[in-house]
This record gives sequence, structure tokens and C-alpha cells, in this order.
Amino acid sequence: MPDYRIRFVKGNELKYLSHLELIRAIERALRRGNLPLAFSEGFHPHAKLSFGPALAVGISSQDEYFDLQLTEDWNQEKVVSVLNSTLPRGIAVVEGRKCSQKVKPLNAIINRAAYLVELFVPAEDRNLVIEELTSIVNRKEVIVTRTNKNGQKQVNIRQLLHNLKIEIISEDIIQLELIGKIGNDGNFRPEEIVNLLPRTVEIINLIRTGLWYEEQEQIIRPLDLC
Amino acid sequence: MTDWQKVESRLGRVAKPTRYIGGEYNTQVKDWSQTDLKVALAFPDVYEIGLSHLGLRILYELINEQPTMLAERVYAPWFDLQQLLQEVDYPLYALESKRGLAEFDVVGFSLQYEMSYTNILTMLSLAKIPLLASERTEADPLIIAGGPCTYNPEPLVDFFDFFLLGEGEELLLEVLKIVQAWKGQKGSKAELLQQLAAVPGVYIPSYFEVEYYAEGTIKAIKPLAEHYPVRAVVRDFDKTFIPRKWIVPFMDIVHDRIAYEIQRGCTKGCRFCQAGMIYRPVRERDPKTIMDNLKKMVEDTGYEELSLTSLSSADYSKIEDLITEACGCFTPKQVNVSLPSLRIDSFSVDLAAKFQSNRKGSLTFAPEAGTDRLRCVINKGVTESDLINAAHAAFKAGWQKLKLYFMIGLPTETEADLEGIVKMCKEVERIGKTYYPKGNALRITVSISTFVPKAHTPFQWERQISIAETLAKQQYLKENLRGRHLELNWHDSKVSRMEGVFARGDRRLGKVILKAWQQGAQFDSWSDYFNYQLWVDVFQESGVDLDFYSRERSYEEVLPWEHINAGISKQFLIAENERARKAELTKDCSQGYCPNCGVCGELKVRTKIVGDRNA
Repeated sequence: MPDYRIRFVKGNELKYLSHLELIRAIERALRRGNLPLAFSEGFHPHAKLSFGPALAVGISSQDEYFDLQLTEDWNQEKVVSVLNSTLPRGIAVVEGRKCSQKVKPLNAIINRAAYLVELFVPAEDRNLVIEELTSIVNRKEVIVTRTNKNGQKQVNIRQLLHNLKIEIISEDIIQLELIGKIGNDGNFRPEEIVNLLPRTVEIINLIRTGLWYEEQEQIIRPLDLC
Repeated sequence: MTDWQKVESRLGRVAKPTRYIGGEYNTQVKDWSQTDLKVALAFPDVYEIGLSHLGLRILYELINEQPTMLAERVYAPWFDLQQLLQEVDYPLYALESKRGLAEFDVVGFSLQYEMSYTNILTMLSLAKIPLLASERTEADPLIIAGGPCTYNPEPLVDFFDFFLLGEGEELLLEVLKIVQAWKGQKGSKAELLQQLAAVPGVYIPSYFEVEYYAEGTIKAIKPLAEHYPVRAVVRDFDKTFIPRKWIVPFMDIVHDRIAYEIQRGCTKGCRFCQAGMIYRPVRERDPKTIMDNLKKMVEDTGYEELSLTSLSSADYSKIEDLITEACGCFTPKQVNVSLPSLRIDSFSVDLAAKFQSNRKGSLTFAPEAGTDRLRCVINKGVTESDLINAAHAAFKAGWQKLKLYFMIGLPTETEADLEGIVKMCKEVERIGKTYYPKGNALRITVSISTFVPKAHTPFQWERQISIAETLAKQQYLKENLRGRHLELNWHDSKVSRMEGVFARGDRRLGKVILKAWQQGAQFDSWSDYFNYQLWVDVFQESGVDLDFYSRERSYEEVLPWEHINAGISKQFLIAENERARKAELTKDCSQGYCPNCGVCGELKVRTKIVGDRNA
């Protein structure tokens, strides 16, 4: 049974979908498209689908992935075009590839993510914001508190951040390009950088622009790993 | 940033933002410049509940099929979104175009339960639409409503321009076409109402004047013009509009599945049941139409589950064949088939066994009352041995979880009837243990609600029990219904009490609702947000007596909904109430016997059965 790796985008209009909602929307699109989905066994059979790293609520993305198994051998172009005819507005498949071999799961390989953050910064705070961002980059340690159901944890987010680029777009808009870790070595969260800035700063837009595998400065796209 | 972007960029701050973004598969975003009549379909509760409602889905698709009309949706925003909208000064908007409700020509509310009334005011107010019909002009949208609560909409008449009574598929289009033509002529609101007054199914409250006696009862409901509000009914249920572009939500909603109405109406004749009266007669759909449409809907939604809905699906004359065919067709596609309710008999359990291959879920039965006598009073022709047989069948087939629904406070109820509830539940538990001696998963969930008399039912004259009586009965059950496998749930006595007040309320309650809302009442059906004391205080301040509305009424008294013709004859309702007092059963008319309820003659409609119900 062939495996396929699908690259898709999650548009601004659907950025508030949770990871689970996104998965279900795609599952239903697959069913609408009558794709010969492979199902797991058992009382609650579910389609053999596995997704890349979850996208937080409120973030849109230009570079998302899932793997899919079919029971019939379809060519990859057909899978892409059927999916695009059944997906809701706001989710679109950009590329799909039939895997030539058994592949490692997306979550096991992807270790870098890039984000584009558009910020509203009142003109009078601009210098302060740039200073703060520069200081973050120059420090070895930036500790933030993360809360989950098991309690609170101190995390050094500086070591999760690999790159930060600032661009001034207009009088009161600044754009940040951020690259950070994702996956088993820790998850960089762009909102955590914004939270360190003055309270007048507001996120206008937050987009994930890339997911990839990186080792020793070599960058491999998930589609090239299948 | 545009004003909408200001809202959108902040949606991350509210709980469940998916409620407020629209864009679900099969929703339709029509061009405002290409349509001349714009309708907002409003549901006065949260998205998850509102989108689960079949009626509005039908109307949404029906209106959007008209080339010159469009329909969009709006649900009650939760407190966090309300705050956000006020913060950025953006009106409550419809999900498709994100335009404020005031930009629409018509805002139509679906009124499903009384405790959602205050949410209507929240929605109008956030949309910056004047709350009172008398304060709105031709520049404001028409505010209208349909749904079961319109069979006594008197507590709401201050807020609505008119109501639509009964089944909306045909009526609504007729009304909208009149509104569309009127809009083109730029006439006055009075002129529009004049035209609508002649349409059966329309109820214009301002065409009636209510006079009261000093003690509070109604002296007369005087028509001010020729206008006879009568319920609209679909005569050919096979030809009527069926939604096919079924909306597929992103988030989990309460009924997250395709719902297909296999029949309308139920003539079992349970005397407490409003739905059983106001949706008469039974009209079954042709099984072939059902299957053809279901296939299309499954293909077009990708849904994992479909439900063959109606008030009593096990009564559908070809239910067995239909389930067999549906399972044969859909189970291989990983689509589950289900029924919303079961009758209390082994036939129903066998049906459930057909479609529910996984027995980990529960089966639900509604005996409603604790003794055979009281079940005769309410005309629920089910005996204790029926329940015992059904329980045996269910346990034998592998289910370990049963849900049992009962009501307290039914007319003529005595302590023996409460004892009956206890006895029956314990007996079901005992039977369960014989099948599952270890019984770790064995669970009997007993839900107790309080009887609320509703308009246009044989029990519309009956008294509703007080909060103190309710609590005492609940206490009795809590003390006696104890068992390792028994779980007891009950309804908030205070919510039931208020529900009863509005269900049989009159026009004087409008000011009470307005005042309570001004003081913060909202989401009253959510027990966490229902503030009984607030309501009691507002009733007192307004000089309106709560007990007045829960009392027993005489047949001679003019009821607040007396001028609304639901098709059922008053003589029938009285006769049924009298039979109830003698614990006499009345047969189901779908099996040939006619109890003279009057509906078929009055509304010129006929029962339609596709097979044989006597089988």
C-alpha cells in the first residue's frame, strides 16, 4: 500500500482552527474525495494519516505536511487534484509525492521551523522594541515560564531560537523573521518573544513559513525525504 | 487595519474562536451586490448548539437557492466575544460576510426553548438594533421568529415584528417574496404587515389587543383587524425541500453528524408532549428518496455518522428495511448509522443491535413515569413488563450502559409513582447484574426532569409543581435510588420553574424579560449562568407574580395563546385531559383509529404511511 507525503497551506481565514480541527477537516475532505484510504483495524477504525508538528491556534502556515496511506496505487497528481477539489476554502495542497520507500514519520524528522511575525509597534516604542530584540539575540539565556497541566517550568528560549531578522515595514509596523527549533529537541514559540516586548506591541499576523530538517547546516525539505 | 481585521486579529483571545470565523464546508458566501433580499438566520444559543439544529440548516439552504436572496448565520456569542465586540466597537456579525446584523433586511430567530429568550436581546443589542418592535423603523431589519416557542410567543411580542407558526419550508419563502416586493416599492411597515396578515402561518401580535381582569387573568384577546394566525404545514413531505449541501463544521458540535428527517410528526399522543401535538400528522418519507439523498449527502460531506431522525424513528413503518439498507450501504464506507431515540421494546433493541456494532455506548429509554397507572395518565402506552423485556434484550445483546428518562410532577402523581421509579430502576439494575455479575461497566443512568406544562397540549391547563415540591421529590429519589450501578441526574428545579412561567406566560412578561436582561440575565439555560434570584427580584420589582403562571387553569379561562390556531381542536385537548384523569389510553392514529384531534380537517393535510404500522 503506497504512502504519500502531502504539503499544504493553512490560510489566514482558517488560522484559528486547532490542530485537531484541522486534522478532522482534512480527514473529511479525503472521505469526500473518495480516496481509497487505508484504515486501521479495531472497533474505531481510523484513516492512516499522520501529521507534522502541530500549529498553534491563531497561526497560519505556508508549509505544512501530512503523510497518508492508500490501498490503491494512485499517481501523486491525482491525489493532489482530488484533494484540492474537496478541501474547504483556506486549506490547499501545494504538492504531493508518492514515497518510494518506507519513510520516517514527519514528527521524527522535522527539527526547524520559520515564522514571519507582523507586529504593530507604536512609533514612539519602536527603538525600545528593537533594542529589546537585539538584547535577546545577544544574550545566552532568556528564561520564560511555561505552564502546562503538570505545573510550571522554566525554559531557556534563547537556545531554541536560531535566527532573528528585523524589518521595518512602516511607521508602526515591524516584521520579524524567526527560525527556531521544533520537535524532539524543544519547541520554539514565536509568541514568547513577542511577550517579552512592551505591552503596546500587538501581533497583527503570525505565519509559519517553513518546516524542514537541518543537520550540520544542511537543509532538507520533508518532501525530499520520501 | 479594517474594523473586521481588528476583531479577527484578537479572536485568539476568546475561547473556541472557531465558533466565530465561518467558512465551513458547504456554507455559501453570496455576493451582496447580486442579491436584493438579505436574511440573517439567528439562533439564540452558542454555535455548537445552533448549528446542530436541523430547521435552520433547511432554511439556510432553501433561501440561498433563490438567486435574488441570500441567507447567512449568526449564533449567540459567548461572554468573551461580547466583550471583544464592545471593545473594538464592531457589531454582532453574520459568519458569511462578517457584516453586522443591522445591514440585513430580515433577522429571523429560531426559538427552540424558553430559556434562550434573554440571548435574543443580547444579540439585537450587540448588533445595535433597537430591541422593541415599536422603536424600529423601515430602516431597521424586520425581526421575526419561528420554532416551537412561537406557539405561545406572547412573552416576546414586544421584541418581534411578526412570527411564523409551524413548518417553515414553504411558508418562509412565501413571506420573503412578499417582503422582497415590498422592499422594492419602499412601502411602510404597516403596509407590509397588512399584506402579511392574510398569509396563513403569519402571526402579527400588534393586530391583537389583550384585556385583563383585575385578578390578572385574560378577559379577551381582541383582533384589531382580519387576521387568523394558523399553523403552516407541509402537505407533501416527499416533495418538500431537503437540504443536500449539509454544512460540515470544523469544531465539535452537539449533534456532529448528518441528520436526515425520515418522517415528520408523531401521533403516539403523549399528553405532555408539545412536539407530538404541533407537528401532527405523521408524514413518512419514501424510503427510496431517503436513501438517494443520504448517498449524496454522505459523498458531499465526508461525515462519519448519519442519524435517521424524527420524533419517534422506530415507528417509521419501514424502519427495519431502511436500517438494513443504510447499514449495507454506509458501514463499508466507515459511516455509522444511528437513531436518535428508541421505543421501549425488544424490536427497538434489535434495531439498535443492527447498526450499533460497538456495544460500549449506551441505549436510552424514556418510560417517563414510574407506574403503569401514571403512564396511562400521560398516554405513554408502555408497561413495566415492556421495560423489563427491553432491558433483558439490551443486556443480552451486550449493552451494559442504559439511560432511563423520567419526569416528576406529572398530573395525578403520588408517592406510589415515585416509588415506582425507584422500583423500576432497581429492577433494571438487578437484571443487569444477572447478565454481568462482575458488572464493572454496568451502569444505569437515571435522568429526572420536572414536568413543565406546555401550550397546545392536553396538559396545558395543569398546575406545575413548585420548587419546594420538586426538591422534595428529588430528595426522595436521591435517598432511595442508591445502588452501585445507579447514577442519578436531575434538572435544576429553578430553571424548570422559569421555563414553565415563560411557556405559559402572557404579554406582561415582555417587560420582565427586558428588565432581567438589563440587569445581566443571559444564557439562562446554562445552569452556571442562570441567576434565579435576579429573576425573582425582577418579577417582584415589576409587580408580576411568578406563581400566577404555574397555577392550574380552568377550561373556561382565556389562555394567552388562545388566538393561535395550532390545528388541534380545543375539544380534543379537553377530552384528552379528562381521559388522563381517568387513566385512559388513546390509540395512535397512524394505525387507523381517529381520535378526532382535528388537525387533518383544519389544516387540510393527511397522514402518510409508506408501509404498514400494524405489523
